Amino acid sequence: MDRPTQPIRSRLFPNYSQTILHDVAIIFKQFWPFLNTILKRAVRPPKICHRPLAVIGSHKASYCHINHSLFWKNLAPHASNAAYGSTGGWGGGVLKPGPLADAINRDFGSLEELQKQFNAATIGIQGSGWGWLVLDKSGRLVITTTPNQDPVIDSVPIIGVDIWEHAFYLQYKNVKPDYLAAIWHVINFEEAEKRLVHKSANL
Amino acid sequence: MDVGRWPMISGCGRASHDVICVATSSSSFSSTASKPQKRTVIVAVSIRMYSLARTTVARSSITTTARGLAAGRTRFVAGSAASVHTLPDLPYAYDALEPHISAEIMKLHHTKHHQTYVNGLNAAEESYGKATTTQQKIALQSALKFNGGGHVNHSFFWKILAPASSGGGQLADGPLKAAIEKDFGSVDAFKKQFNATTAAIQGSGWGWLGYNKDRKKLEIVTTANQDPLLAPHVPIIGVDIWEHAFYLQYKNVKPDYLAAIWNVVNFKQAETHFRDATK
Repeated sequence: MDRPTQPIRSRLFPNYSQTILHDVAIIFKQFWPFLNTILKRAVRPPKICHRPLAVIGSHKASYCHINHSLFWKNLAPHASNAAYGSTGGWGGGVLKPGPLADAINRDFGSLEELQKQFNAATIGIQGSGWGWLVLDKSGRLVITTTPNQDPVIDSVPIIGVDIWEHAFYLQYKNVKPDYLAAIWHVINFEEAEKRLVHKSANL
Repeated sequence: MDVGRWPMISGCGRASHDVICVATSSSSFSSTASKPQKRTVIVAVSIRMYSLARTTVARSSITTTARGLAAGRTRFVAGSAASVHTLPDLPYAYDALEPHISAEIMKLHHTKHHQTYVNGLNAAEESYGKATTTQQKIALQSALKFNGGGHVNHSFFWKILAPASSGGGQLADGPLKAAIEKDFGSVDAFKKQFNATTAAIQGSGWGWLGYNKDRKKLEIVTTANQDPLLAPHVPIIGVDIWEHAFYLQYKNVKPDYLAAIWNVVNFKQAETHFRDATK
């Protein structure tokens, strides 16, 4: 509404005129986006992955959440799954030409070689844990593992696979190799490529 | 081939994992032949030197000792002439612990998981026997610990369980019961604390009732992954809380598994462990 020209007493705030309140409202409207960002950053919990290890150690149970949140997003219904179709031309298990395919070929030779090494490393975990394809600080794709629910620190998780027994036991029993062979059919390479390109899994 | 004698095994030799035998067959019953025709048939008989479920033949020890002799040395190194580990039989049938632990779980747990630890331990010890440098030996430590612990822990576990018909779940009056009541207040309080502690393990592992020889008391202890319970504790009761131990039957509901397993804990065996520890 227009700036009142006459000094009319505000009904809502009887101590102030409508003109003053109008000016305050304008200023508030202009600064609200800035204020909103500040408040959100103050209230949002810091990215736990970037905390020093000593602090992380005492909060291990909560990393369940981080790892699984990443996990659901790096899976996708297989491209042939008619019920789900594919996400924008990609489907689970489909690696299209692009930065991710290039990086995989550069650092592993081929997707098959990556899968072979990844599966061997993940099967070799003694206990519960996760297998990861990560982007390290030097910009290379590297296979690594973490025990229990430890998250990836100091590198960007590109693909994560849960090798806790609950992730596969009902279907694959003790035969981990079968589970790991199968899961590649539902890996969401599109999401993985986004993480690679943005150098972040917090998308 | 002509009718004749059954092939005779004329010699066998070892080659890698298999045994190759040479068999000869001769046809000597033909009346028209002036002399028997001897046919040599090489029969490659592949005899796997170890079976998946039963006794392991000392393949590795033969190889290593033979090499040692060939090299003019007769030293014993870890694993070379040491006993080769085998999967122990269960003291009861696979379905004996039902309904508390399903036959499906028991069968997989015993024939697949425990067998894998046995195989892994044998392989690790064989490699250790051949290791010549300290680095090589150190590199094998985690395989020895993991597979060795797995074998030790599971061998202990099968014996610490028993069907109800053999006394599973029944803690009779005696030194163990008295010690539990002394150190935990009551048997129920002990079970409650044991279950809470074991369920809280972050990852895979084992819950133990251990006798602390230094402090001379029973304590509830946990170990991660396949780490065995070591000094100063002597294991009295151990419960596997790896997901493979219960998931098929109890899914994610660990408390249900832990409540159920007390029905099949072999307290008589536990008391034997306690008596031995407190001698």
